[in-house]
Amino acid sequence: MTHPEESAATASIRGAVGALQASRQAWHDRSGGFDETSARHQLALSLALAEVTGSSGTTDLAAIDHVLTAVGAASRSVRAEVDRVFIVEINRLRAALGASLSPDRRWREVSGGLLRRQLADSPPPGDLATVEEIHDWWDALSPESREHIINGGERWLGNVDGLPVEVRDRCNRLHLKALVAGDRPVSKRVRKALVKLQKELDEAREAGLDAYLIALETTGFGAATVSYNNPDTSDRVPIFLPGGGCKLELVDLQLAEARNLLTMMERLDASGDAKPPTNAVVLRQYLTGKAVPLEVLKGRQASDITGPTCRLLHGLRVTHTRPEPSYNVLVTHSYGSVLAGMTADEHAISVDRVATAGAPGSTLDEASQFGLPDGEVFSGRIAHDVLAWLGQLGFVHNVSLDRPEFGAEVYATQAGTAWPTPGGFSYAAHFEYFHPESLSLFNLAQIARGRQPIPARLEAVPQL
Amino acid sequence: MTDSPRATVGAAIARLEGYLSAAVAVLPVPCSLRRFRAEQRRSPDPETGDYGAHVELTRGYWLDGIGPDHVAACFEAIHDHWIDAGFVVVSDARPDGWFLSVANPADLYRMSLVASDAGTLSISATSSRVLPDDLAPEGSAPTA
Repeated sequence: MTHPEESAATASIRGAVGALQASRQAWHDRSGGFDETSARHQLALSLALAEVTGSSGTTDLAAIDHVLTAVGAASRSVRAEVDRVFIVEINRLRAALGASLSPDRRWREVSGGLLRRQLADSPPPGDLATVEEIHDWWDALSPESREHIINGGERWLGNVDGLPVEVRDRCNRLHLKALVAGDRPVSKRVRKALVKLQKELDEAREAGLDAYLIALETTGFGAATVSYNNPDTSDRVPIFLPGGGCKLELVDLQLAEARNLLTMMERLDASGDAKPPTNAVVLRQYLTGKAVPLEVLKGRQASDITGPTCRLLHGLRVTHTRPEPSYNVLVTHSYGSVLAGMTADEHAISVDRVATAGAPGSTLDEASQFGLPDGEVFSGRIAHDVLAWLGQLGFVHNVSLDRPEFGAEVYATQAGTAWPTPGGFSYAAHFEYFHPESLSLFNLAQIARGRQPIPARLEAVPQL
Repeated sequence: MTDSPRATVGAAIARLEGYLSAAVAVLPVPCSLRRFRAEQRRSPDPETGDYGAHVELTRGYWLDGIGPDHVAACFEAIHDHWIDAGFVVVSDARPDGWFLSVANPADLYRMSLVASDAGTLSISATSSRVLPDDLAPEGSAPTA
């Protein structure tokens, strides 16, 4: 039996969902990503009203007043309050709608190309297609049509979130082969890096590792998204977002870090005869364009990164094929941690946990703004890491992730390489979080496995 | 972490395998080694960040045949061996976790011992920065 107040609550939620859907065109028209503050607040208000009137049949005026006060203003602190109370529900709804995601700029080119090919059995969805719509479209195609499309030479098809990872890999490898062979134009610098990427993929195969090329970008410094093992069929999927030095020519080093994480997870999983859970580690490089360090640190390039990152995370949820959802953890290093916060703030991050390493700070005010349940945001800092230390002092971004007021769970790390500087701070220590024999890696692997890491002991901030 | 400029890959592999064999030799229960990792990767200069020809190497083995009841004794035996051999403890997570990491101040090689949730032991070692054999300075001895 439907309770009258429950119907009102449902209508309220539906209204808020409608507002979100209506704003999709507005998102699409905004070059710098979309500002969803208004939709977020409407939804928060609707959810709150539904909550206070729906279940008990009575109205808690004080609760409504509280929510109205919070939602009515758009200041940062009020927004944080709204997020703290409602973000999990908001993200769940937004993820279900696919509505939190900015349109895929590549999809427009791909869908246009596919339309020109006059697909017989099913035309592709339009420019504003959600990840779900793209996935459903692909799912409905005949095997012949799929092969026709894969081999059709649409160069960006492999980057489209919502397509199965195996399909993306096939498309991107064809694209990579053409780029390396010089059949498609690309800068000399990026071509050199592409050769390195091809070598990494070949060596992985020789070493018995399944590697998947999930995305490939060739503008700017170039970027690749590569997975060891297939995230669509794995039980756990840590997604590694590296630091601001992210560019294709560093792909071998960042893939080595991803392998280190995967190996440590396997060392902790080993169980003799029993079959352990399957793990896939995804390295997500992103385009940094003409990277100027200060600009990178200030996050001014972020708008072109957060939307696609959000879409990738959501796409991995949509294309996962196991009956149980995979356990997805966003593992970030350095500036990747800042980007993770920006992504959560501007969109939503469809993961179970976030684990940051060596973060130079965050644009968020507190861990709850990642939109995850309490205790699912982790932060680690190597004592001698000079960049993380500067972040802790608030020199780079407004908040340090390992200060108690931020509210992250702080995990233990090793001291790191010390240089003969006051406090022993070194640049070298900033790059030791993923060292194969390190406590930081051990703890990151535990977090990626859904276990609790060893907590850091409280320590004072070293003073110069 | 820089090693001797004369260090080479060939010598580094020999040193890694030597460190690993020596550690396994002190275990209180017999086991067989099964490799899970053997790789080398580029290693940037930690002071300049430049990527030259230097690489670092990792070797890792499962220690098969050791039951979960012997995990604590194995950790203790290898810990004591590493201290006696001149390594320094970088991280010892016991009793909160089965993780032990050491470094050798003489050559900056690092090693770790891990037990899985089910009590399966694994040991790993990583070299410092070394040169590929064909790039070793002329006349240098291949020492790590």
